[in-house]
Amino acid sequence: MSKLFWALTVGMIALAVHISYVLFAPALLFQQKLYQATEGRPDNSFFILSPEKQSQLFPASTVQDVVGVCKYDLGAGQLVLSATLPKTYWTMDIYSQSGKQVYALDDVQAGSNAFTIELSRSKSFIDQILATGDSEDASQIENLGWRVETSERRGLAIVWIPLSDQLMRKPFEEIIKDSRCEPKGSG
Amino acid sequence: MRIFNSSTIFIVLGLVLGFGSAVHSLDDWGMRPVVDNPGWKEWRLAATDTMQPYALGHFLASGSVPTPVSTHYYVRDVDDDGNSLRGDCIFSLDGPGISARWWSLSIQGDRTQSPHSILSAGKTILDNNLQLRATIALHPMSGNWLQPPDSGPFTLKYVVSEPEKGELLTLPRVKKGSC
Repeated sequence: MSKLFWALTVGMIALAVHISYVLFAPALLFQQKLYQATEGRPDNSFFILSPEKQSQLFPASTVQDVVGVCKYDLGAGQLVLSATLPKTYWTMDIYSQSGKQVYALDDVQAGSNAFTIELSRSKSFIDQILATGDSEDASQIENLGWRVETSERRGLAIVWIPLSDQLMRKPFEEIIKDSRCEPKGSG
Repeated sequence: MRIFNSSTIFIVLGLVLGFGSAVHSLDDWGMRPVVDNPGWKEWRLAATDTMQPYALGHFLASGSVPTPVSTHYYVRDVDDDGNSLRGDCIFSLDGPGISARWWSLSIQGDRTQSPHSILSAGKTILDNNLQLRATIALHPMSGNWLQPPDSGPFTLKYVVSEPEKGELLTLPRVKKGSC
């Protein structure tokens, strides 16, 4: 009986540690590695990653592609992503800090190579109950291209332009460097 | 005192087992073999997949975001006969060209390194039957050529973005040549 008790105890502890590690440790490790990879870059600004760093952060890319990143923090309010992209295949993917992809867009879906996305935190359950109407939302949608809501405060927006030749990198960098990622109202 | 000692041992054993199995599972459990494409494995990133937390955890723990949902990400580190892919041998790749918005085939030595050699859409020559043929070798070869970083083991990485709807992906077969 005593052996069974201890075997069950060991099993329960192992299971609890296993589940906790798999669900929570990777996100913490990611935050640490992201901080190292983007050291010196402020939140809510758009920048282009170096070839070495981009394939580490975004494994779908290779060293010859162009990858632009906005490390966002919605703590101060909404964020506006204004993208200027070349006429070729590209994707824009928005991730929460836990690695969940919350939004995806490509050149065909966008239908335009210059567009704006407004990023904000989704309303909590209590906020939704207390909300009286959606007149504010409607007025905002009129003025901007797309609206994306995320439940987490921090995350990453990534623009990926896959290229077949490293020589094409420089001219494409010149096009997307005018993209912006800034708190709403600051531009 | 004896009960305290044995209970401590069991608690530590539980912690070690839980931690060890979690670290190991992040490397393996998030991948599944690709049906009808021996040797290739795919990361199970679909939100509906029960193993998705392991695949997601694998990417995050290595400092990467997961590949976008529109992109398929395949890897392999063995040839069709189960031999490890190593830079001191020559391997041939053979498979149909893929209809997709984008694809790239690259070689990665160490997981922390950038892909060493890359073939991609728009840069690769397909033969008359629209077959993709390439050679993996340390020294230059005619036709499509992928170069391993050194004579050690390497991983092949195949990224396919937005394949044509309904198309069953057939990934290249890998055969070992001379060593």
